Amino acid sequence: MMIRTVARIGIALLLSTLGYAGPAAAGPTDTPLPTFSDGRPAVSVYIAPGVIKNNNLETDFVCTNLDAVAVDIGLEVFDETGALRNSVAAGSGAFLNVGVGKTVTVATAGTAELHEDQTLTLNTAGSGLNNLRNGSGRVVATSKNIACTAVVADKLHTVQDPAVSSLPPPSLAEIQLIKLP
Amino acid sequence: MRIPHSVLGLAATLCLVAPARGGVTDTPLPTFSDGKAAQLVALLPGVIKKNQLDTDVICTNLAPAAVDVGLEVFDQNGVRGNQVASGNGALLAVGPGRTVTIATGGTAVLHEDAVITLEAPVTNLANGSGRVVATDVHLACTALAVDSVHTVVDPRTCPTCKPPTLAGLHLTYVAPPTPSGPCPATPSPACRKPPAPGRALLLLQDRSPSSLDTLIWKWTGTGTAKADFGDPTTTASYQLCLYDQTGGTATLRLAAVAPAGGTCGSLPCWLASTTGFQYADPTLTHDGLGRVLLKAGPPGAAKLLVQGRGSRLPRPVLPLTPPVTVQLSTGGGVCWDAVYTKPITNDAANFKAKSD
Repeated sequence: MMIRTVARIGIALLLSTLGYAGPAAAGPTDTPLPTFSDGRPAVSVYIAPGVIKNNNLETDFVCTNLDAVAVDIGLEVFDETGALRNSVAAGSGAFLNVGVGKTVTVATAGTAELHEDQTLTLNTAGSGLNNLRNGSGRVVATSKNIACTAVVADKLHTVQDPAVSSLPPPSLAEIQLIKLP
Repeated sequence: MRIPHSVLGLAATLCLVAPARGGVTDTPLPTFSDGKAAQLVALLPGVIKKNQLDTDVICTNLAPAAVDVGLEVFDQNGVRGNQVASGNGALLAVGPGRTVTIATGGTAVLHEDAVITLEAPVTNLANGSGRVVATDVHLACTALAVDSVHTVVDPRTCPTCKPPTLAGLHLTYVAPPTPSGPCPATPSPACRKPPAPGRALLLLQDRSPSSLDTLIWKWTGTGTAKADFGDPTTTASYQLCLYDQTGGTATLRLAAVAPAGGTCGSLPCWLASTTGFQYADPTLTHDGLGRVLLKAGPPGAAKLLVQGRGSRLPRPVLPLTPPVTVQLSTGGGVCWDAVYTKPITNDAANFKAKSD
């Protein structure tokens, strides 16, 4: 019996060494959903391919609560390796109790042109770099009844009256969000 | 019967011959250089490569395995401008959850993993189109038309440096990208089925306001032991997955999860009994599910029930495209299913059916 047990442990160690573990969860599809800091579990509402934080471009998400009750709303971002780069559970990218009809904006960083209620601080997972060259995102909430828009925005420029300034306006582009059923 | 030469001439004049293939819809799909066949993921009108504008397509792999990803571009006449088969505009073995960018040219402001070289006879894409192809359709993509030469420079150091022009382009997906969550993209092949037709009922109601939406799934079937349910009071989450045939292939249309453990209101969400488990959530917090009943028993006596309602309930757009498959499962554990080929009602507000 002792020999069998030792053999099983040896096989388990061998398989572990050879990498026979299941694939690590990665990206917006199979990374486990978070629980907000108030204990309420999140559901996935949108997937956002093309979250960019690079070369002074940032990505802003603007979300409105369409539900009949207050909801928690969060943004999770993933880098090109699929690594989750912020923790909604710890409050990064999370808004608690967003009132009925209220709108909030969370972004990968502050921008000069847009208003942000919260900005993300990236952790060191995945690439470990403080950028999202090829990022993706997931909007999570305690209700599916929210509506969001996402834009890639130049973080340095603002729109100036051309009558008094020759500074150019910022770059802005909407990115296509995918609403989940 | 002889056909007068004048008729043949007229037919030729009117071009009554098969049209040449071209463009994003009827150009044959490629095979990647690793021998894997491509599937069409999304169409992209408005691919531009002209006057220092280029088009970047950023895609995230939502499939559970690595996929090959490609971008094919077509000029204004529908002529394909790159060969994914030879690796031009293709990226192989993109891992699950990873994101890649394929573009018509390198840009100063964005990152590109692959840049397409236009192939003769295509020399520019003034009015181009494109299609995203991959070995699995479960990709989510964003497309941008991008000024290739400018980047964002701090106006305090360079007040005359202009930031790049950027514009989002709209992709049209052939099938909805894989929803997040534990439901697999296609139905599991080996679930326990009802022993006879009509033993599983499915009811969906789409109402206005959405607080009146309803889901009911009742299943009576093959023998099931209590141990088959795992322990939802601690570790076994339950997910209800509904698929129909949108687009001609099995497509996930609804995913609702009753998570393991937890507190619903002031009581535990899951309670164990001698024959099984019951989930009750008066707050309908988790995907609108209010009740899940798992009752073990011999053949014909085992029962499952899932009830949901309200605005948090995932709402597939009705009507559905039969056959519809509903599966209830734990992650990686036993699953139970039923197939509905001939619904009793299937319109924009109601779906009602008894199982095959």
